[in-house]
This record gives sequence, C-alpha cells and structure tokens, in this order.
Amino acid sequence: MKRFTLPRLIGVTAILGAVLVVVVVLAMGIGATQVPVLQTLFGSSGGSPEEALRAREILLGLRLPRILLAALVGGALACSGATFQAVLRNPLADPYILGVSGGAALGAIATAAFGLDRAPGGWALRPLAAFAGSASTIFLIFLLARLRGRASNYPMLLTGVVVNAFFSALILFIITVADYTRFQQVFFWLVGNIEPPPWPTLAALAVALAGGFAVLYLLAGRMNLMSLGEEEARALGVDVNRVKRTAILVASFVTAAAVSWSGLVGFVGLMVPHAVRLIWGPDHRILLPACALGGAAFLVAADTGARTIMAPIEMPVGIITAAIGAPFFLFLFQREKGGRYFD
Amino acid sequence: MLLRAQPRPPVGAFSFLILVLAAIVIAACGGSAPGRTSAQSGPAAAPAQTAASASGVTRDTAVAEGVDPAEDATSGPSATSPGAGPVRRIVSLAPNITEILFALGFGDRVVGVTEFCNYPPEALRLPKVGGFVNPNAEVILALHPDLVVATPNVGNRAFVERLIAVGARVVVVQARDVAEIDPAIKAIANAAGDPRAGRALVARLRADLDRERGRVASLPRTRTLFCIQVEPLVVAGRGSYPGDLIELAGGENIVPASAGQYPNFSLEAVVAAAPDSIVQSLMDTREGATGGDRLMAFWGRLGSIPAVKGKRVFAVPGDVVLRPGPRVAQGVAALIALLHPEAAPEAPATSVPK
Repeated sequence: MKRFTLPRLIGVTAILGAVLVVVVVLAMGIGATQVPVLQTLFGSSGGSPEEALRAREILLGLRLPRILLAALVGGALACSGATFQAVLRNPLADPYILGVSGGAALGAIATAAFGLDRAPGGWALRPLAAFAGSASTIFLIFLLARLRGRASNYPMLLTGVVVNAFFSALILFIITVADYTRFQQVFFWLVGNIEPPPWPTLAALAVALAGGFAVLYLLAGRMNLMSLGEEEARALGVDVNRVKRTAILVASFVTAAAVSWSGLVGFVGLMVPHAVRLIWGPDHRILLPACALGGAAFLVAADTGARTIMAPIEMPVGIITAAIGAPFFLFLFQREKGGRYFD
Repeated sequence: MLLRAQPRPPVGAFSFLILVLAAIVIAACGGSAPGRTSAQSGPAAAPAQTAASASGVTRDTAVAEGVDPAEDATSGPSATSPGAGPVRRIVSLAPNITEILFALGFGDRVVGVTEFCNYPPEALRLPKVGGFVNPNAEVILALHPDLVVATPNVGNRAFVERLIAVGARVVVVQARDVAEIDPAIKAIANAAGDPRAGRALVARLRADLDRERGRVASLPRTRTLFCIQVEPLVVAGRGSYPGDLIELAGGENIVPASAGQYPNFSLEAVVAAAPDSIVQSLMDTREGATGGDRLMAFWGRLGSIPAVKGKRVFAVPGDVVLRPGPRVAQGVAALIALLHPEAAPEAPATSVPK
C-alpha cells in the first residue's frame, strides 16, 4: 500500500488541480457560439461595445457559472461516493446506485411540483427537502440491510436499487398528479442536467460543500481503518458506529446539496473514486481531495460535451456520465467477480 | 426529418398508395377486422398521411378530406356512422379537436372531452374522459359515442387501436402546424357528415389569417425567440405551430431550421442571436400573474439581449399560441400585438391570464 506523506498529498493535489484548471480553461473556450475568450477577459476586444457586452455575458454570465456548478457537483458526488464506499465497505456504493440521489430528487421534485419553492423563503426549502430525502434513504437502506443480519454488500446494493425504483415511481406519480407541464423539466432533472446558476446559488453551494468536505476529511484517517474491517477498526479504538453515522450523514448532505441543483447525475461517484484509487491507492487522506478535484474535472468535461456536441441543441449531462459510467460499472463488476465484494 | 423532407408525389398516386398501405396494414394487424376506421382519400391526403407516418400512427387510422364512403379501404360500414344516420355523440381526445368541433357548430353533439379541454367555456361542463395522454377507454365507451376524434400522440397509438378493436368509430386527425389545420377541420367535418360546415370554417379561417397577415406584410421582421419553458430552455423551432405563428405575425424565428421543432436550446446561442423580442407561452394558468415576473427574473441577467434591454419579454397564454385549431388567427393577432404593436388594431389581445 502506498504510504501517506505530505509531499505525496501535495503532489497529487497539484497534478489534479492542474488537470482541473486545464479542463476549465478548455471548457471556457468552447461553446455553442464563437467568442473571443482572451480579448474579452483580458483587455479590449476589437468589436463594437454591444458585441463586447454580449461576449462578456456569454463567458462570465453563462459559461463560467455553469462550469463552476459542474465542478462543484462533480467534486461533491465523487467525494460522497468515496465515503459511501469506505464506510459501507462496498466498491459499488455510489449515491446514485444506492438511491441516495433518488431520495434527494424526490424531496426536491416534491417541493418544486407543488410550488412550495416559490413561496417566500422557499429557495432554502428545496435543498433542505433534498437533504431530508437523501438522509432518510440511506438510513432506510441501512436498516433494511441490517434486518438481514449484518449490513453486507449484496443486500445493501439490492435494497438501494429497489428503493431507487420506488422513488422513481413516487416521482412519476407526483408529476402525473401535480403538473404535467413540468414533465420536461422533471425529465431533465431525472437524467441530470447542469444549468447556468445565479452567483448567490454558487456561493452558497460552495460554502456548504466546503464544510461537508472538511468534516469528511477529518474522518479520513478513521475511514482508512474502517476499510480494513469494522472489527479491526474497533480493536484499534475507532468508535465505528459514530464515524459511520457522521460520515453517512455528511455524505448524504453533500449529495443532496449537489442533486438539488443538478438533478440525478449518475456514476460520477462510482467512476472517479475507483479511477483515483487505481492510480494513487486507497488512502482517504489523498483519495478525498483527489476525488474532489478529479470529480470536478470529469463533470466539467462531460458537461462541456453536453452543451457542445449537438450545439445549439443541448442535452442533459447525465446522458454522458451514464454512457461512460454504465460500461465502467460492468467493468468493475467483472473485475471483482468471485472476489470478496459479492459475498 | 426524412419523411418531412421528401418531396410529395402527385396526389393521385399518393392516395392510391395510402389505400394500398392501409389495406396491407389492416390485414397485417388483423385485429382491426371489426374496426370501422376510415381511410379516405382526396386532395389533402398527402399532409395527413405524412403526418401520420411521421408520428408512427398506422395508416388505417389516417383520415383526410374528400369523403367518399365508397372509397373506404377498410370494410363496408364506415365513414358515416354505423347504423347510418347522422353523428350525434362525439368524444374529443384533444383540446384543439374540441375547439374545432365547437367552431364547426357541433358543440351540442360533443359528449366527452379531456381534462385539458378548457375552450370554449362550454367544454368545461362536459364529461371528462381522462387526460390528453391517458384517456380512459371505459369512460369513453360508456358515453356511447358514434364518433371519437383523436390525434396522434406519444403513446396513444395502442389505445386508439384498442378503441377501434372494441368497435368504436375513431378518426385520427393530425394538426401540428398551421398548414395542417385546414385538412384536419375538413376531415372532422366529413367524419361527422357535414362537409359543408368544414368548408365554411376553413374559408373563414383563411380570410381571418389573410387579414392578420396583411397588417404586418409591409413591416420589417422582428427577430423573435418563442420559448416554451426555461430551465431547461425549450424553444419553438421553425415548422412548429408557434414557429408558424411567429412568421405569420411578422416575426423572424432566431432558431435555425436545423434545430428541429422543439429543441432544448443553448442560452449562449440566444445571447449571440440577440432577439428583439422574447415570447413565452404559459402552459400552466396556475402560474398566474407571477409567470411574467418569473420570466424577467430569468432573463434579466442577460441584459445584452435587445429584447431584455428593451423590456420586450412577453408572456402569452399557452392556449392561444400552442393549440393548432380555429383560434389560429387569434394567436397571430396576439403575437402581432406584442411584436408589432404599431400594427395591432386595438388593445393587445392577450395578457397574462388571471
């Protein structure tokens, strides 16, 4: 096992940070329209004042906030995926597959469909409902899997899949009874879609996610011990249940914060942690920051595809992450066949 | 796309082809042996057929004007209702069909409508047979209709086939854009046994449309974005019904033809195209007056768009601009009032609904 050292942490963060910066710069450069990026951002563009204003609006008002939102959502989903994989000791745990994202979506869609989010102060209601949905889902899954003895892998994943299906039914029911005109909106939401957000939204999301990340990072060392096995961790003095509860709660919070702005973007929390682990090993003190940066870079790249592949038509980014992620899931599944994960 | 792009063959050959195809499809389906569908032919057969095939609806339910029961390809009893006699009980399966039925003067014969049929107001009092996508077959049959008028719709093909299989007489008409309204009206009038009412209504609509078009004929075109919803942004492309209305109202759709009818459109592309006016239809009347405010809340941050800077972002009631039917001239007038207020006859015909 690769050992944790500060220089290694700095090295990995620097590499992935550089990757993220390159991806963001490239993403700023491409879009449905041709915009002179450098002239617009630094110094005077040759065109008329109207053209300059238009270019600034496209770059700073639409492209940049969208890229930043994709980065935050991608980083959040990857970190929460890594956390779920650690504390549930299941390599296929991912907020999407476990139904945690689905629970968040149900909460958010319920508030939106019944118009609650348009009430005064309602803007806070959607993320809160999403959090309520995601947290209760994960605890429900946990309880149900526990009923079968121990919280082992197969039951937990299967329970997640079933809970997910149940939530889809509830979401479709809400659309049917509440408001058919929102069908397209909800469809995009179910697939996972990034829209250019207002700046205050971005700021609030960034603060919430930074807080969540800090708590998870404080637990990183204990997550390392827990991935050895709960008994072993307990023997080493880790309060396993408390760490588990905190980590799951925070990961659900992080998922909900992301999902309440992007909808159900799938597979980021699965692919990114595994890719990072393959390269830099399983130490969570490196894994978590690497997931934050790598997840950000991945979703920014995927979303750039979503808004440019068929430009000026856009598609939900979830199509792209699923198209890449589903084969990746199967690859992992094959790779672990007969291994310890599918007991 | 492919089907729409095809040049239309001569009408005579085409209607013969429809008859043959109808016979083949019906024979192949087998199930519709008792089906009293009408596959009629005539001058307007081409658009109706194109429409039907493009949407995946079988040709055995494609109906066009030019009724001649003798030409019915299906089987004996058809075109006019079973047991002969005039059509007395009609069920409508779409809001625009309900509007057409009432405009034809058949309102007193309509015995069932969908939940979304809210115009004319009389329609609100009629029995509901379910939604637009999910009508209820039992409710429909319990109304003992001698004519059911449906429109091709995502997922209702099997439903219509089932209705036919249990013996209901169904005509399927398609009106997706302005050009398809006239044939749809005539087909419905013919199916109800009153072709003259169809011809009269079509003539009236054409005159109304010509009058509206005349108002803006000499005016410069206003570059316009018609948006169905924001977040995600869905807009009306060329060839869609609202797209047609925009052109008729002296607007120029900023959405390129290559984008299709109702694309999820890039906001960047909207900023770059710099429309002079933005029109948004409000489908949900419950949004009420806040619809307009929410529009500005969304568009307000994009002040470089001339429509936003000049405060020409408008909300219009969806009914009037989204439903291909007899209120087409009203829809055009409503848009003229917004896009070319100087050409509108009097006060704007639309506002945000109550």
